[in-house]
Amino acid sequence: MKGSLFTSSLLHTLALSAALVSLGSPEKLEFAPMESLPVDIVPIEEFTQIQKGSTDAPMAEKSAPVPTKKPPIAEPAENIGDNEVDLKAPPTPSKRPVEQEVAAAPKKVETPAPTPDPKANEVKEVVKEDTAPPPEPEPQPTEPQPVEQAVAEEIPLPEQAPIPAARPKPEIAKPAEKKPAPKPDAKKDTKAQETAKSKPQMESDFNADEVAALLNKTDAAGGGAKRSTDQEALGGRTDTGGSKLSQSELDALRGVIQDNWLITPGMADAADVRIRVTFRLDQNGALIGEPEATATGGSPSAQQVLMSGAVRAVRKSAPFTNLPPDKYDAWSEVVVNFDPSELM
Amino acid sequence: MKTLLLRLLLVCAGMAAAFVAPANAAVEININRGNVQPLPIAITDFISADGIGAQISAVVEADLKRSGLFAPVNRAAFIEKIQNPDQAPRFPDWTALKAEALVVGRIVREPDGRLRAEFRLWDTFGGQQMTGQQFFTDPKNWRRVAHMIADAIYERITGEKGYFDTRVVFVSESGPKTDRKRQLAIMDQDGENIRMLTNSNDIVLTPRFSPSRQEITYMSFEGQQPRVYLLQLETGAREVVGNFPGMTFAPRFSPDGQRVIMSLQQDGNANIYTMDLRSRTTTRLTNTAAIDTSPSYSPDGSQIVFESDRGGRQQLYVMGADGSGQRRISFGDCSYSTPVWSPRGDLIAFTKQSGGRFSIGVMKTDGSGERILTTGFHNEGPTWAPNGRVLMFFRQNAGAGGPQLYSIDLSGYNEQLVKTPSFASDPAWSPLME
Repeated sequence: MKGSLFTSSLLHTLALSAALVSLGSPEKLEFAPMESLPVDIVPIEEFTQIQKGSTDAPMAEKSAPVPTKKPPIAEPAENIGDNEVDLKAPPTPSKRPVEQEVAAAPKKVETPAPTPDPKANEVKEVVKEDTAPPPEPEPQPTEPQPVEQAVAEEIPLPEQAPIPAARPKPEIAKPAEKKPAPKPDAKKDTKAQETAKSKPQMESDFNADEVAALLNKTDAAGGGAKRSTDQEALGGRTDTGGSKLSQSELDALRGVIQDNWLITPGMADAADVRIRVTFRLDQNGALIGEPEATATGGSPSAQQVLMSGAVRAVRKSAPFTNLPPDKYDAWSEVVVNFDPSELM
Repeated sequence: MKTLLLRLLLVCAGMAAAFVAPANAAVEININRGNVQPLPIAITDFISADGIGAQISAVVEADLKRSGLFAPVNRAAFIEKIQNPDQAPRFPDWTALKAEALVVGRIVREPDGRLRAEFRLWDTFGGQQMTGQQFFTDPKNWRRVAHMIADAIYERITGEKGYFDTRVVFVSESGPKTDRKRQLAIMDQDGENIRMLTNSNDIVLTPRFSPSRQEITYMSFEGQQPRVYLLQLETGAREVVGNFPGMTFAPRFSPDGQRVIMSLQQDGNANIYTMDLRSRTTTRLTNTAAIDTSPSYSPDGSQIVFESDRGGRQQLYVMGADGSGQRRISFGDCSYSTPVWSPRGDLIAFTKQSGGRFSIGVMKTDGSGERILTTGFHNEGPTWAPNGRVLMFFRQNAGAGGPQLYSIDLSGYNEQLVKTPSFASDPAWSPLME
């Protein structure tokens, strides 16, 4: 008896002390700090309306490729470059002499690119050749031609460029590095010109890599949706430009007319009448011309009464001031179908 | 997480794309709800040398307002003062008041003493005249002219026949409960021009108009024997319809006015008979051991609806005009009585008793589509306005001294008390004057 009591208490003591050591408090659960996700609330109709793609495309995991970015807008020429040589007042042409000393003088030549003169010349020749077809602004964004066009166009625009004649040479190199494949639209070209002009001392910036980039005629790597090698996105064959009225806008339009549609419940022979009113609106939401009404079903007298009631509802609702002006194309013409069957 | 979101968005986009209709130049919307609201209408004082113009336009306004389908615009808000009713009004002045219609008019006393009443109804938002008419009448009938103008306006705007130029015959009840005097009385539908037709202490019940508006048939207990009488409104001449051994009750004219249909009680049960008013021949239409009563013709005269307790309690039955093809149309754990076929022919109005309460309702002629318009302590005896869209009935509220007349729109809206100088029951609406 005593022995078993002793054994029992000993074993219990052992077990408890072992438990004290081994069990302990559980480890704290780790949780990684979470960052809140910024979420944009996009109306679904905008999203669906701007989707363009193929209706039978399989659903892709991937989102549409990042669209091409517009290059940052260059600041006005006179504010760029060396402020000691502010270019607000265009220098007189007489000072044009190829005194590059002016260019060299500014310490601003941070890019210490030794310029191999011969190469520069070559480049220039290439440029000249290509410059020949400047009037073709075809959308071939892959070529580095834009650069050349930029040069070509720059010449006839002296107002922006205070230092017209001397510049061209250095410019060729400059824009090339910044824009591997800019789109050839006029805006960007002029920007390119501006940036180019803004740096008077560019001869020294010339370097071989840039020339190589210039000469590289292969297509630029995909940067826009068009060039993507990804599968077509799922969407409509055409986009609607987000110009359709949203459901809530339609509801608002419907609500206005509905409120103004005064009907007499329990009219004889009116349940089968359907009225269709077509009207056109100007940009301010006012009626253009007379609303046209047609009726089907029911008795002629019920048709006449319901038609005039429907037209009155439309006239009374005008002008429609709560329609979004930017979607005018969508609501320039409105068709309203009146169905009194549930009201009779 | 991001892909999941994108996937969801894409699914939504795909679904939307599938349902989006091809881009259409016109935005198209469907409206199947309207505003059950009276139409705002501006009624100007008719131009006249004396006060008659204002009086007439006031009656027109009251008629239209009481119909529940028009909301006269407060005259104090009028901007334009109509000087010449033949000139188009300045519509913006009226659309600014949200008035969808405008009534202008002129009352002229002709050299021959008659009144010439002209009116024009303008669509203010459309800038058009909707209708314009003129009437000539004896100056004594100026109220009637006003009702006719109201009818023309009502008809043009609602597309239904007006009912303002009508009269109502009813039982006027006066005196204390223990000694109630019941007289036949007739009035304009707006409660004006009341005239007593009988002056006796006998109980009169169920007056009904003939289609010609010139005759009334009713039941009277004169001589302690309930009988059906005919009364000429113009002359006041009375005659008993038929000479039957038992009591006759619940008379009603046929739509052509040639016959009277009624119940004849014999040996504890009642059957339905018709009597040809010219040949005085009678025809028995039902032959049961039950009480068949309250017959009412369909407007084309081909069918008759009546009530019968042959099934244990009062229910509605329909049969051919010759008594053939009798079939029950009302069912349920309640009783139906006083059926009246609508002048439009599409509905039957009735009194329904259930759980100690009385309702006025309508159902289709096959018994489907029952709708209760009003329910209360005691509502009974519906009668149709001639255009089939308004019902009049009598109601006695619990604790009230007697019954009063009420009208209600077929839609169940616009219940209105018809003011009478004394208690009133058993109304019957006249037909339209041809």
